Amino acid sequence: MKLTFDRHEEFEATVCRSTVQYYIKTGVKKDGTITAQQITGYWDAGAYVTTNPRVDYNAGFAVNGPYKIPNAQVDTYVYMTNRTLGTAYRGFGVTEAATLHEHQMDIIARKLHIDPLQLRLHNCLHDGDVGITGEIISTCAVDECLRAAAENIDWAQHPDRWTDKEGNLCGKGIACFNKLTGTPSTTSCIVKMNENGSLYIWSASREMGQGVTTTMPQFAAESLHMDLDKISVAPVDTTMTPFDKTTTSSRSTFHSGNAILEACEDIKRQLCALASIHWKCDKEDVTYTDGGFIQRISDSAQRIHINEVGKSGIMHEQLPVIAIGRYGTSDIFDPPPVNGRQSSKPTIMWMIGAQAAIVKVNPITGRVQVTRMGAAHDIGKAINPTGCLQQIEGAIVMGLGHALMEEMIYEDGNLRNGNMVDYKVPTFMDSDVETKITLVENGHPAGPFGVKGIGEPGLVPTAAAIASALSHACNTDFDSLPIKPEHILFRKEVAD
Amino acid sequence: MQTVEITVTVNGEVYQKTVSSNQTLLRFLRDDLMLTGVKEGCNEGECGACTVLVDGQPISSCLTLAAEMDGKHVLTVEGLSSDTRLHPLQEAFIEAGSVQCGYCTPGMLMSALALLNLYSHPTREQIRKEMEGNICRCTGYTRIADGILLAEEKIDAIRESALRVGKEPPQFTGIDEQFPEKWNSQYEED
Amino acid sequence: MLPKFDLYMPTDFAEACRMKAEGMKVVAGGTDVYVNMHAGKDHSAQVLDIKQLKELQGQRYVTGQGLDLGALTTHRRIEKWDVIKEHYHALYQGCSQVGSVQIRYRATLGGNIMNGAPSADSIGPMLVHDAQVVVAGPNGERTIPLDKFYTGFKKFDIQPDELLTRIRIPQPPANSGSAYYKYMRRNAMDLALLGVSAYVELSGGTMTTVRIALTTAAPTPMRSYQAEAVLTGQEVSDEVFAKAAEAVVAEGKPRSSWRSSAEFRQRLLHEVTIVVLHEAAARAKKSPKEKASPIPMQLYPSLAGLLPRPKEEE
Repeated sequence: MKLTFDRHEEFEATVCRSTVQYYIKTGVKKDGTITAQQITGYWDAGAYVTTNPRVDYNAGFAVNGPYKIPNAQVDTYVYMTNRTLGTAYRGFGVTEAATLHEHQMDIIARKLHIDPLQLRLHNCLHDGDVGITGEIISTCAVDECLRAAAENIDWAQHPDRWTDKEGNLCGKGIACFNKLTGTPSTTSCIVKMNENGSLYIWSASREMGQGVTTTMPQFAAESLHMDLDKISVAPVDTTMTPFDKTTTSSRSTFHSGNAILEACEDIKRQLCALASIHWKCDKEDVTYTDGGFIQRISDSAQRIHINEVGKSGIMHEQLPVIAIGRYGTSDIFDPPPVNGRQSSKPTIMWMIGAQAAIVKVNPITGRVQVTRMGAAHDIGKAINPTGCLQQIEGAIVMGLGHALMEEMIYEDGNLRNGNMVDYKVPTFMDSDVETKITLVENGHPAGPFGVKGIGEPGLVPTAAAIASALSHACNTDFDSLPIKPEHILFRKEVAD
Repeated sequence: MQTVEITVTVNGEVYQKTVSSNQTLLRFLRDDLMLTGVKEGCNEGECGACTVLVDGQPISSCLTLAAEMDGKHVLTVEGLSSDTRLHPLQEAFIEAGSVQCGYCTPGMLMSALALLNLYSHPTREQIRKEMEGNICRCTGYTRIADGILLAEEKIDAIRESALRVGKEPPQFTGIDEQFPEKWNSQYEED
Repeated sequence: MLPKFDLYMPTDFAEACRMKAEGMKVVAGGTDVYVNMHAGKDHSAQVLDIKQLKELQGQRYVTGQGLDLGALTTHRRIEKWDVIKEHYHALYQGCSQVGSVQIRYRATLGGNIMNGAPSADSIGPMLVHDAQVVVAGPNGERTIPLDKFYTGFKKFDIQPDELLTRIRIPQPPANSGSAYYKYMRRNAMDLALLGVSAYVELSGGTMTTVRIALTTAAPTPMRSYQAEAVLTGQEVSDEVFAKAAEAVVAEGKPRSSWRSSAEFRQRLLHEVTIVVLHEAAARAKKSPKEKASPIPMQLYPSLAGLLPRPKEEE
């Protein structure tokens, strides 16, 4: 059965990022230390309630930002309207949340005459601090990410705002965030070795350009010390590929990676058993070395490298080599109760990062150019560094769109701009941004080789950083996105 | 009339077909010729995913009738490579990381080919301008420009290689109907 | 999806005129008609594709005389033609910013005129360059100044059995310059939220001839005659440009729509008029070869009230 939507139907009748309206009030000491924060939020779910409550829930844990806040109250609501369905869109609510809390930090910085970066460093969480749910925070590299992102745009060399030689208004801004991944969550995989020594992985982690069909073989190759080109991935078909909860939430590398590593340990055991049959020795006399050799302990000359195992013949007429790997996070999850949401472990991992922006505003036309972006993301471990950079680079341009030009415009309940000319996404001509990215590898103890996630985090702080820079450049407080030329031209500047 | 007879060359092969008058070139390529590289992204000429070369010119096939194609040469992404080798643009896109989900990629490649026919050594500014009609949501565009510049280097290297052994360098233009064989043949490469 | 229609692709001009008179939908590049058909806004049952008509093809420039452009001249041809960049720079700026390369290879000047959209980018430049259109039919040819060709929103001085065949643009003198500013929300593939074209002839510092045209400021692309009167015979100055800008805003009367408010459009119209007058005047002073070069936008003193006081310099 085939269902086809045209582009207008796709805009109007499928899903989009929800509108959300947040209110925030923060108590701060003169030295910039945050003492309390109150947030109320209202999400527009659109015509039907589907994923939006989950988005709201997820954002609720992140909306105070990666800061030490001893007293916090967060109340958020989801309501239905007659508009397009709101759902999770890259960031799962945290993109919106980060824009809020970072905007608040800028207002505080301005009112207390504290440098925006210093204010964030002063309040940010470090390992061992208590988070918003009472969790003892770990693997939290906000400080490092903030400093690196700032460094990547030469933060110290610019004031908050200045005018360039041509008369353009320029400004810098910075934003950081903490994003959860959905917990509890499960995944499974099957790994089989063919008789020719090649490996085949079944996993329901779905490739969509993020590179999961590269990273999964990378995990197997690393674990087994095997040539990458001997490993392939089955097409995803949920009648056959074993269960994976979802390819969302920046979780595939982390969860599928763990499952694959478990399966590969079993592959190693099975190969050692087959070698013991072949060498007519005890199973206990065979080990799998770090270098990828199936090796006899009592005679290290007797060994077969994994890349040669097809030629070795040890699998011939023996029980096939096939393994299952499973990983889940229900055991570590501490369900946050409805009353207060306090939990010692609301998520298996927090993803942390920061981005900084420099913008140039033409004061006559109100047109904005984002001239530089600096980013630093704690990805735990870069399994595929190019893949990590690709995610962040693309996210930055998407975030530029969110900050400057993307919106669904309704008039009398009708969607006016449900097409590709009136809904504006950045084009090639909008992409000239000098971008510098740092991958921070802090390592997560439960992640395979320490990995965390990057699919969404690249986008989470981008619009927030650009809005921060624009507010500085234009000497005002932009409190909604997108920030369009008319908002810039008709702005009310803050008193100096 | 509601149907039109056309004789059109697509990727070097000649087709004689009867098409409906209201059939776009996009649907003709996908439905009649099973060339699914060309994508229907918007049907309004605003995304570039349906870009193909018609007599060397990049156009939006969603806004072009199949009926207009009589006597024309069409090149799609499937026509870029031969059985044994990818086009330098395709190789470069892989190496430079210009591809994520791949939906914009066929259109990007066709526009890039037209660009390289126009400017053999484009600046990044020229690349941005000539490629402005191709939307990408995944990559942020810079690696696509990287891929185009890398392709140009590869083409230069192949040309030099051919000239060094006294052979005619391949054209890479995409408007020569013998294109897939011509550039792929004969000479040694370093 | 395109609705079902009968397609006609005549090679004979008289036959094409007859078919048009029957009410067939005329199509050239298809970049307006097929977009509307895909969107379900056009259900024409008969389509007349005029691309085979020799009378509408070809383009010629004769030094001293000017341009003779076939209605089927594409925006891409204009974009890539050195003559345009040098002598008709506003037209280069207008055509090169329409849609995308893919669109420009197909979209024709004749189509742009006959679609009659107030946001058409080629028309403001053609208006300030005093373009004329040639319409032809069974009763012969008529030449009409472009600024008299529009009689209302999507209404033209053309008979049901006439087709637009040529566009003629006179040779501008060496002491002239033109410019077109297209205001967009992103840097490519956008409609003109607003556009202003200007053409200036300078004798010393005096503007002997000025022509100003507005895009997306009225139901049709229009000349701003009152603003032109303010400037004609005057010395180039920020003050007089500011006065002209006020006249343009009064004459243009842009309206609010869901795309933007009237207030925003008025503000932009004021600013952009000044910017484009400066650019046209600057270009008028340049040598012929230099006229082809871009002139970056400067934040002119006439906009002083809006400019920030320079702070700690970078």
